[in-house]
Amino acid sequence: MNNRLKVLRAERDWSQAHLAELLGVSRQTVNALETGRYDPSLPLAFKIARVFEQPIESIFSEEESNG
Amino acid sequence: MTRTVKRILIGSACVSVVGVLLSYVAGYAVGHFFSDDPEGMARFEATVGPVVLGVGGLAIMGGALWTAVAWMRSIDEAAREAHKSAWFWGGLAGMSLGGVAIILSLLPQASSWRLPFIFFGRDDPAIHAAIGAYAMLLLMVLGYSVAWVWWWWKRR
Repeated sequence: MNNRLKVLRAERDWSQAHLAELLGVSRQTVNALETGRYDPSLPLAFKIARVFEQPIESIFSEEESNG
Repeated sequence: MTRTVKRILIGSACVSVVGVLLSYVAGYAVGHFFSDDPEGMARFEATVGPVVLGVGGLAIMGGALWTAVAWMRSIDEAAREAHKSAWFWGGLAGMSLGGVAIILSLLPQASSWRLPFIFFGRDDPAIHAAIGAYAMLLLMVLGYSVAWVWWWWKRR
């Protein structure tokens, strides 16, 4: 699964630690999410969407990450 | 590290230290009380000893279980997934290695093998069984540790 977490975070000038605090997860988890190597659960995906005030489908897409 | 995790770690460490101190004081008191009475000491060891060790063991393992549950509830889903994955794959790998040792123990010549180290100077069936259990546990924990590091390394 691919996601735009890193872009969205950069747009807001947030650090990984700040985003982690907003999501209630560790910074390592935010990093794993951003690199696309960990897919979040549905509750966490909804939380991410809420934090960025965007629909889930605009943050996550089905296509595999090339990275 | 979240505040909850820190609280659990500090709480567990404090309880462990208090437990060790209490055990030390209890051991010292028993030794002092029975210092001139070897027969009384033997009676105490035969009657109260198993109860103290049994209850103590239950308390320690119960505390460890409570800490593990509190720990799992306090960490986030990725950390939880890492632990679950590591216990399955690492634990399974460690158990498989231990399984080879169990199969090897069926060999007739295994009856003459002696363990290179003996706990507390003892060489009896109970301690051999305990060493077997420790060895299996050690292999599983080693496998778990490697798998846990691997899980996070892949997602760094």
